[in-house]
Amino acid sequence: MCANANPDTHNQDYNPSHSSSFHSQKDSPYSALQQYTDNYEYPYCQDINKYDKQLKIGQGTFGEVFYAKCRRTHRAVALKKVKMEYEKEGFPITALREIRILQLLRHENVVRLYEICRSKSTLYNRERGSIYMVFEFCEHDLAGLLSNPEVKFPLEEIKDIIRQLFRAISYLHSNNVLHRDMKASNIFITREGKLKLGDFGLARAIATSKMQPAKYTNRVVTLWYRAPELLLGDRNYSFPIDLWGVGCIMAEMWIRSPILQGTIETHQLTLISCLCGSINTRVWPDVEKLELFSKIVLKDETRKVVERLTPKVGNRYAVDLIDKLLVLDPSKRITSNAALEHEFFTSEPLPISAERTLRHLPDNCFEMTAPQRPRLGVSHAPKPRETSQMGVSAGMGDRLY
Amino acid sequence: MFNESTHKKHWLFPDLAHIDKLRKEAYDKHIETYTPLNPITYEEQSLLIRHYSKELIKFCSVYNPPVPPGTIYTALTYFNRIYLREASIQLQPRDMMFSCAYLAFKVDEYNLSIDQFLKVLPKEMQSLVGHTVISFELTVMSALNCELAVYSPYRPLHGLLTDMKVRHSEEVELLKDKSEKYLSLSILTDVIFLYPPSQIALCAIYISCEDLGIDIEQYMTECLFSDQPDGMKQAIKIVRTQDEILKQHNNKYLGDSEWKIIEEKLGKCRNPEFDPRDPNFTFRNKQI
Repeated sequence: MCANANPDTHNQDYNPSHSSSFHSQKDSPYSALQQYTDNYEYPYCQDINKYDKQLKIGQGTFGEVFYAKCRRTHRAVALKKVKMEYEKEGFPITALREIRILQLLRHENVVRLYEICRSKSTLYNRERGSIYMVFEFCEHDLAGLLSNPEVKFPLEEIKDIIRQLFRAISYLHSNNVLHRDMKASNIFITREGKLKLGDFGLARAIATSKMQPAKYTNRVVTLWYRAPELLLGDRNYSFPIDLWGVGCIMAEMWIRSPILQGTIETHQLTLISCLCGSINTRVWPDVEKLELFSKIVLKDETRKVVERLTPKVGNRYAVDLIDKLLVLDPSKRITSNAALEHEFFTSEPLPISAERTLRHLPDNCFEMTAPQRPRLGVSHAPKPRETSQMGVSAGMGDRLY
Repeated sequence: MFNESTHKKHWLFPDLAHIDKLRKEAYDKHIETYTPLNPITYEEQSLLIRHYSKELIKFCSVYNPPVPPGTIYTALTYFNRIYLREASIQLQPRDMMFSCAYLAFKVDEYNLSIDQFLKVLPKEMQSLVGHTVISFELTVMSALNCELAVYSPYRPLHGLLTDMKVRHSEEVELLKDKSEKYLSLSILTDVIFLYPPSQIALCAIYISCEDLGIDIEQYMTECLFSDQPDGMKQAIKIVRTQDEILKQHNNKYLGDSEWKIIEEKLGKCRNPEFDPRDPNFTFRNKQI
């Protein structure tokens, strides 16, 4: 919203709520008229009809996502429709969080929210008008790319993708924002190989003062990417939960499917301890403070992260970094800043943009439109669940996207 | 961050005249499109908005645990922004007071369900206010252009006080109370549309220092403006202007009997399509 939609123009001051600002310089010269309209102040949110919806590309936590083009400038955008039906509490707090957080953030690896549009209901339909969030469009999402056997990322490109992911996380965390829904399908990648972290529907700003322990809901993050402290009922969690998710995603770059596919919370914990070793006070002293620790019984397991991943991943620095991310004790898990210093990024081969691999791909590899990975067929496809005190979870559908 | 924000870009104006003009235009536009018989005058509207700004703070202060001052500031800012674009005959200040509070609570993570939100009100009001708040939500968001991120002066206030304590070993406890008190009054004025939050905070500290006999100018020259010779002079000028605005503003609050008369007049001239008690209301607001 508050933004120069086209970072190339260095035109920091023009009014963002106007469509022409989506115009890319590459498409046409930046004319005087264009400049005039860019600077023109439009009151109120604009009508969604300025975009031409072309294809439904996803189903988010709180609504559908469409691929669309600005009718005037032909700039491609992604529209996220905020579902308003059955909202007793009014406009969903998850959408408000996403809007506010994205209005406060600006980073090349965080998806850009251009503006908010609204639709009017006509006299003839009895539907309520809706609010649309207008995002920059990215051609691919990581889950879609990984499920496409044609796409093979060489090591140096994986390094670049993972490094961009850490940069995004590091930026979020330095701004005291938790993403809380890390997963491959929320990571978007443009044709040019730029990574954009998206879907801030579960994100929230966290309290910086440690006066009293926080009481956040632990019903967040898609089950397969959920950190052990969340599964054990922690409500005073922090940044490490996102880094656990990054660990899962990083391994997924080689394994090509989510590495810990539990069916329910207890099964997820079993899978985690099979891979990462037993959860006990020896490796994680504070674990006994967590509500559910005493209530679960887990078999004794040894840690097998390195042993299991080495044959698939190959690169020892990559395995080492994953090993440091998939640490059970959140206080010992590597931070995003420390991860950016890791030898994985400084050793040969050095990171190279994935543009080369992506340029030749014909179609958008969105998870929803791509051929489905086997995991999507299962009836218990996990969904992130947030039941905050506001009770906004009503009407949340399964998210495939 | 503030420098790139919509707060700076769309909601700060060069001077008081500019702000007044926006309000007047919004008022005129609505009076022309919907011409009631005995319309509320522009001056009456201004007084009513002022009254409800104060009322909004009072309303937010009844919750427990206390609503953080930054959240109250967000609500107050939303409320005042609305009347730069809309008029009271459409959006009645009383309705907007509740709507802005509810929206700000959600945006700033003061988590409440709608039922908890309504609980502080008398029983007989709860269902109407609930209906009002939910149905006006999109209208309010639209009037705010969905620009929901507001920068409050409380953060820079505490930042400056901490800095004074650490770098200048200033005794700040008393100063903190006094500055917060000053701030609670100055944010009711149009300074929120004229100055960035850091300058509003500085003003509160500067004036409080004067009252307490603390020498703040030494701190300012040494720590804030050491590399800008002109900065000090400008800062003091800004502080004085703000303080003057507050002094002017303070004399213009309504007594109990006075605002009720205006409210009653507004009740008779308001556009029924925007009246939650009117049967046409729900449909109109579904269209946003």
